[in-house]
Amino acid sequence: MSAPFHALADPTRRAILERLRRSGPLSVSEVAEGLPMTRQAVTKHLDALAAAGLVRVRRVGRERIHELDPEPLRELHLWLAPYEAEWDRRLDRLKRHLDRDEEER
Amino acid sequence: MTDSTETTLSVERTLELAAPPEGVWRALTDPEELARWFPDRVDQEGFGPGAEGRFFWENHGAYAFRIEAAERPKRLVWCWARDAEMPLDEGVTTQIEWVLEPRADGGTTLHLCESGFVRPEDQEGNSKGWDAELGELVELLSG
Repeated sequence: MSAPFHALADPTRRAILERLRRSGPLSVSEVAEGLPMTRQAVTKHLDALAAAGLVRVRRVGRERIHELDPEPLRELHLWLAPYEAEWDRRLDRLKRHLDRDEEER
Repeated sequence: MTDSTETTLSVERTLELAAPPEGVWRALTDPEELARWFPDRVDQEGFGPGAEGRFFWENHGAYAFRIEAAERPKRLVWCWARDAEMPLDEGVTTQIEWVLEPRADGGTTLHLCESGFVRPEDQEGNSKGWDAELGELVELLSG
C-alpha cells in the first residue's frame, strides 16, 4: 500500500508514468527525452517505479523496455472505495432532506 | 493545513438539486440541518473561517473539524480529522470542498471534493496535481 503511494508522490515519477501511459512501452532514452535530468537520474526513477510494481521492465537486445503496469493503482482505488460509498450514502440523504424541504414550501 | 497534506487521492461527486443555493448552503452550514443528513450531532463554536467544532456519530465517536473558507452561498471548505477523537492536523486530516452553482431553473449544482487521503509520511516532494493525473491513470483500469 505504501510503496505505490511513495512512488507516486514524486512529480517526476508521475510525469514518467504519464509518458508511458500515452506512448506505450519505451526505452530509457525515450523516457528521458526532454526531461531536465540525466539518463542515470531517469533510470533511478524507473527503478523506483518498478520496485513499486508500477512499471514492468523487459530486455530487448541491449535495451531495457519499460511498460506501465496500472495494477497497483487498483489497490489505491479499492482503498478509496469505502470513502466513496460513504459519501454516496450521505449525499443521498442530503438530497432527500432538501427535496422534502422543497415540497414543504 | 500544510502543503504536504494538501493533495493526494480524492473523492469527487456532483449532485443536481432542486433546492436553490441558499437552501443548500443552510443544509451544509446550519448545525441542525447538518444533523439531518451528515452526523448525528454537530457541536460548533461560531461560524466562518477558523471556527472549529466536532461531528458526532453515535456509532463512531467525535470527529474534529474546522471551517477553512465560507463564501455564502458559493463555496465552503472544511478540514476534518479522519480518525475519531484525534486533534486536527494529527494523523490524516482531509479537506472537504463544496462548490454551489446556481442553475437556470432555480436549483443548484453541488460539487464535492474530499482530498488529502494520504498519511504525510507516505508523501515526498511536491504532490500538487496528483489527483488529476491519478484520475487519468485509474481510468485505464476501468476502461
